[in-house]
Amino acid sequence: MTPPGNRGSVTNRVRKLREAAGLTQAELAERVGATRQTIIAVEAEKYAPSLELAFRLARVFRMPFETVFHYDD
Amino acid sequence: MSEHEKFAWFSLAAAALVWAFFGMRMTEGGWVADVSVRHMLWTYVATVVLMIVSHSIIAALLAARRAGGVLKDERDAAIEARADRIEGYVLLVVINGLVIHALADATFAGHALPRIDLGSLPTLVFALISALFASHIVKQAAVIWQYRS
Repeated sequence: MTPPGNRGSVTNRVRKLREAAGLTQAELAERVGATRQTIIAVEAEKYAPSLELAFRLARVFRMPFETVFHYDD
Repeated sequence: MSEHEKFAWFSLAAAALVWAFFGMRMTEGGWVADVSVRHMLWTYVATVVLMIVSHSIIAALLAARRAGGVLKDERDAAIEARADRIEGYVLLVVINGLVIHALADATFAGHALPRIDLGSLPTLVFALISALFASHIVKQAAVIWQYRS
């Protein structure tokens, strides 16, 4: 049984971008409409967010989606 | 720890305690006792009430201690959906196990399976309610496991 979310192929720069923006995990969670635990899981790359949440994260950082998230074959 | 995970821990503990209460009322010396219908009905109603009250208290306590922010998001929903599916599988396996056992009992008099007299009402009630408890506990364990892994 594998938990839902990341299978190890989606990586991201959420932690670096959040820290650069001076946001806490709770503040970022509030802005994108997620729980703090989900932000923690995304940053740890244990959970790959849905497209909608990924776009919302990219929008908070004012960056293109592909700058925040990467998919490795 | 998310609110959802906290709820799963408390729900698991509450279900285990209520199941123990149900088991104590329905068994004697490790076997289902030949209890009266009145006793069974009282036990069943008390079990349902205990589950509802305990889960209402858990939800109220968690709501009172909540710091704010989003309560449940897509990850929580995905974890819940997967745990619901696992709960369904457990129920499917247990109910089919009971049906197969009943059919084996009726067909092969000398089979090697443990004796479960599903023709007895206390045994049937105990088996069905226990199947519901087992599936609920497995579901909460699946929720916790997914958060922890």
